[in-house]
Amino acid sequence: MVYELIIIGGGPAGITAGIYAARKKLKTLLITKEWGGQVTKATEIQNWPGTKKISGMDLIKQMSEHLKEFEIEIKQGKEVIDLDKKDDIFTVRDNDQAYEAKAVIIATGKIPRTLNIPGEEEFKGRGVSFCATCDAPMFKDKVVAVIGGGNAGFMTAMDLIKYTKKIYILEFFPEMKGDPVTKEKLKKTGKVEFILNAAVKEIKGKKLAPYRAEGSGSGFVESLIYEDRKTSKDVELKLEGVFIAVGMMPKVGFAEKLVELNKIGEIVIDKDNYTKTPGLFAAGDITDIKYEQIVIAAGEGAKAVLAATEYLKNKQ
Amino acid sequence: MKIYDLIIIGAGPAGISAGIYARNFGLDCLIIGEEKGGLVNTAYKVENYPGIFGVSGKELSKRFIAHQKHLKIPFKRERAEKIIKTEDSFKILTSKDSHQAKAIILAFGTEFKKLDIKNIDKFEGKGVSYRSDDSAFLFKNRSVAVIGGANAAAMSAIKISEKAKRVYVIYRKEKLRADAIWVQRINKARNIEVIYSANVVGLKGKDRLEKIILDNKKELEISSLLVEAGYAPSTYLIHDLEISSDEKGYIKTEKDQSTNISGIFAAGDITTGSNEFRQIVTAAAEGAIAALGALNYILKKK
Repeated sequence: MVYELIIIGGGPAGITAGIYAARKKLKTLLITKEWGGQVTKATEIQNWPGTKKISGMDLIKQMSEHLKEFEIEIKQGKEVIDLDKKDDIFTVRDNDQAYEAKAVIIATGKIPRTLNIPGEEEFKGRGVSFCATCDAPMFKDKVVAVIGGGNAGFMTAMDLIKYTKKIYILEFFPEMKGDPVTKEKLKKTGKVEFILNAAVKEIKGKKLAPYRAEGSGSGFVESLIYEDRKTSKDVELKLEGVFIAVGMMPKVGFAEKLVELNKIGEIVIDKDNYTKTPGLFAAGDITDIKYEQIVIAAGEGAKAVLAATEYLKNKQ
Repeated sequence: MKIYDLIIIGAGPAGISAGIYARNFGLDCLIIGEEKGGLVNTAYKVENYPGIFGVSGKELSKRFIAHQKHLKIPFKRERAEKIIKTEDSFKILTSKDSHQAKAIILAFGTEFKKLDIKNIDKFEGKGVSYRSDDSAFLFKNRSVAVIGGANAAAMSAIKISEKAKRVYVIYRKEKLRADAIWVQRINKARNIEVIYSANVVGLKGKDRLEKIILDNKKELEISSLLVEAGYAPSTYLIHDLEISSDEKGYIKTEKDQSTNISGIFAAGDITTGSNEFRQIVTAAAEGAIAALGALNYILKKK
């Protein structure tokens, strides 16, 4: 079977696209690894118009439940690994299946940027985290490091402060880039130590014998090594948690051959959400739109369906 | 006179969303509008504003307004009548007062389009209405005609059919333009009859409207007529400043919702933005973008 439309992504842009597609009675499939992505990590959202205050988790729950009110096919827990086009038909592949569609909307958003250093992947979930709102309570009375001295790093530290004993905030550059007001707040707690010019090199932990633990055979994080870029000396910090907050990045590998990317790897679209490939549209944070906000992503999702509908109509 | 950072003209989804963003970014802003909520108030049901399923337009409006109040965004119920550009700010003359701001967002939406039918003005309020939330449509067991074939007309027809004895939908084309989901509902409703390829050419009645005449000579006895012939932008505010608009009067906006006049942004149904989709969610998105655009403009000026 060939779908009229496949939407890849289950954040605000993808869900809104799904709602609009379903209401237009397009034969649609929405594929997503998870609901919400980035949004679910927000503790409190105050700028979703019409809702005074809501957690990211709750907002996404409301949105996905709204989507499920309509007739739409959903594949959840699947990550798309390849997208190709041949003779006007797109093939979307996840780990175990391939689907065909006449039009596709990519709305996969952004994922946290990684440091690509030894130990980062190995100790993920064992002391290394990309989400303070999710994991903070597990670090009660512990010493942790936050990598990144921008606003994301500061917010991460704010989420951690009421649990942890001590927080090191490590910044690569000679100054902290985050908002000075938040920095002052963090300073006042007496629990935070700011470290500048720090190039993080490795996250270390105890190796367990492979037969004792399932998976990677690793224990938990025990220390972090950074190079002080001024003295060129390595410094080791004893700690039990490392929160990485060095920004977000798009992940477009699966569609690379069909889209044009800008310098930071975002999909280039025109103002009506068209990519360079006819029939392929993109919406939300994965694109080169200027502002990344939930309501803007939702608007983009709606617009992308309008464009896809026009495209499908002209193809008939 | 106090100089605001930003004045938003219009208090529908675009205007309120712009206000929410401006407020959260610390801008000193004011919303001026005649009606909080705007056209959303007239929607029977809103099913496509993500996360809030199946509320009436009025209820959704209430939620936007509650959000505005919660953030204490100042609002003045006034009609903006003229915008004057001064050296580095704008002056807005309203029905009651005048205000000044460094930047402006135009978000005053559209108005109901009127039809050119003889006597239509005479019967306005006496059987002819442009708003589906008009109390005339609450009476039971009446026959009502709805002119139009897009979503608004279909939605209103469904709403009215819950009370009315009979609803005629009169559309000039051969096929309804409304979303498939609404067309399906219209077809299912027992007391709705769609009359295609027809136009209303005459209105009759002693004091109130009693009868309409179609161009196929057919006459229908009805007690109320709802005109849902679409919307038109109100252009009165933009002429003096030469804000550029398309041939229909919609304000031309760039990707960041800026207009051709530096410092003036526009958002929502009044613009050519969002591929002219004109949805609540795209209006809210444009409001947010315009507020961010205005913020950057103000920061640059400093």
